Amino acid sequence: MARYTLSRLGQLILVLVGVSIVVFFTMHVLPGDVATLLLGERATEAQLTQLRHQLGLDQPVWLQYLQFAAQAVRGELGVSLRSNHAALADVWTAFPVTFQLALTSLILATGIGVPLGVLAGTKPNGWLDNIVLTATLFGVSMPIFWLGLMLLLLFGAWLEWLPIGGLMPTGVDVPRITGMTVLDSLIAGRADLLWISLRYLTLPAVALASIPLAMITRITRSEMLATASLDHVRTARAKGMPERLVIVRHILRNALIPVVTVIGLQLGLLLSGAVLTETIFALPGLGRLMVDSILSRDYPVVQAGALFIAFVFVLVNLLVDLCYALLDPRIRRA
Amino acid sequence: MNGKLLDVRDLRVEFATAGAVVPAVAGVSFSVAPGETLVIVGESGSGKSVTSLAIMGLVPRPPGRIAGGQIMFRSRDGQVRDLARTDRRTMQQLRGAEIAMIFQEPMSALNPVYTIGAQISETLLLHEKLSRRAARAKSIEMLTLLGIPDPARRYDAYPHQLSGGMRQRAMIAMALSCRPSLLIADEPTTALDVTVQAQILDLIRRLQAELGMAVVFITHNLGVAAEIADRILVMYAGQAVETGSARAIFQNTRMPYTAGLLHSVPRLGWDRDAAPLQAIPGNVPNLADLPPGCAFGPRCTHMQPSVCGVAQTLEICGPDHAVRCALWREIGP
Repeated sequence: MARYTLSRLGQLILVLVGVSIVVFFTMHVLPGDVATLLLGERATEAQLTQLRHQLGLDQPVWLQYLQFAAQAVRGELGVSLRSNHAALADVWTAFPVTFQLALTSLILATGIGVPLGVLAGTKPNGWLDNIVLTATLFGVSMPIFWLGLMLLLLFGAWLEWLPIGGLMPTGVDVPRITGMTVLDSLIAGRADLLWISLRYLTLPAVALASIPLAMITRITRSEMLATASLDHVRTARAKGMPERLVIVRHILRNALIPVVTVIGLQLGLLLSGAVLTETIFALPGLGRLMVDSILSRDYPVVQAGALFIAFVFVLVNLLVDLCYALLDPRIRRA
Repeated sequence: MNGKLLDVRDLRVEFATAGAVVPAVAGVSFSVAPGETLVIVGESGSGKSVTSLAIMGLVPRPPGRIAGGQIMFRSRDGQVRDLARTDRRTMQQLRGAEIAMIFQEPMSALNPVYTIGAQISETLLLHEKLSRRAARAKSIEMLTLLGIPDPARRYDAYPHQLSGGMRQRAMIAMALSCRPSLLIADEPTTALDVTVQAQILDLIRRLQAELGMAVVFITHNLGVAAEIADRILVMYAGQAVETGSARAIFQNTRMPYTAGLLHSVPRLGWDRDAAPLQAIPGNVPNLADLPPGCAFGPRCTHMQPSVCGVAQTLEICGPDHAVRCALWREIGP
């Protein structure tokens, strides 16, 4: 198991190198000039040349990349052209917002999706199964921006049950420790702040959870169905095992293996793909930071953000694979 | 019951398929005495596996259902029950404890994510009031009984870490852990190498004597049947076509189908030129569309339309020997 983990960590480095190359060169192929952007349309050619020299933009691209890579290894990913903060610091500030949102959505999606899939899968073509199949079809096909707006309209604007956006109301601050409002409220021991932060988190988390919820429900259902017809399930029944135990120990346990993969992939996607949700609900997360930085050609932040997302994605996948090995003894020796 | 352990009377099992109800088992009767071995022989689709699942109460429902007949079973407390009409709870208590079953594919019949030890202990914990430690000790004892080397270590092995023969031994250990009075073995040696087959057959025979249990053994191979059978039931298209003591079946074969099965078993040292291996022509009929009269008729070399075209009955043709063939007197053994 230790060797397996080590070899997977080695792969992580390779992926990061690959991502850094792709991100770096993509940014350089894009039209638009940083110097003009920074100094404005009226800057003289001499000023532009000087700035380009200062930023190292007049050197060959491959040399720029090597310099970038050498700095990146030391953890220096440049300074944001907009905020003048270290690029990684901007990413690091935004990440907890996204992480809290993604994790909450995933907990919702898994906590509802797996039991729902189990119930639907143990009685295929029953009334619950039909409802679940129809509802999840809606879930996967509903555009997230539309669902988000509808939720906002219904619960935020008309019913006024929940706030319509933002992380916390203006003027209310949670003492920042992790950057995740819910967790920080808990650490501070403030029930009032916890309640507020949860209210602010609800709508975006529900909106973001819709697609993973539908996918997890569907995959759980189909895996339950496929596993239920396997020979070892008949063996379990032949032992005289009550049906409920057969379902939990011999169907669900085996069916969970592919479900865990999907859950892991979804977490990776949620972490990198919460852009729409963060925009609709005005959350200062990683997705919004990336979009804003791309639009303003803030190379260092885009690069730092992309590398960071790739790092998290690969790390999550590694964790999933380790879970996989725990769930399926056949993989441990491979 | 006359001291019988299991008495199946006119068992009928149907499967609902698209547009038709298929009679997978169409009125089969047999009985098994304690300690006796009954071998049910037949090709795939003859209804032999469905018969065994019906005894276990494991006919998948839907699409299957027991449409008629009785499965009388005498449990340890002396009570006689009709398993076809026993409630689910009671069936669960009987399964694994008094009636156990082993299956054809030892790889897929074991759950790949649990150790074999955990799977054996599971049966014990379900039926006997044991601590986990006691269950473990008893499981290791079973593995030892099954001749598995280094049983304490094998207890913690996963199915994929064992060979086919070892897996089948683990499967048998699991089935026998609660000392059932009836073991149903559905082609337990078919998926194994010939040498391992012989070992497993020996093992079943030895454990049967040791534990005094009855065995219903299902196979398509009459060679295997000859090894272990006290009595034989030959099935074709959901019906018994010949039944009797093993001696009667092998020495006075009456049914052309049984004879066909016998001729299709290769024997060691058999002279290829003198007696070529004979296959039975044709295929097993579609159960949803059976020919009128004898189901084997279309494949039978003795077929006489006037005699065989009507429904056949099981006739006594000798001491402890019955056959479903109107021509048995003429054909002779």
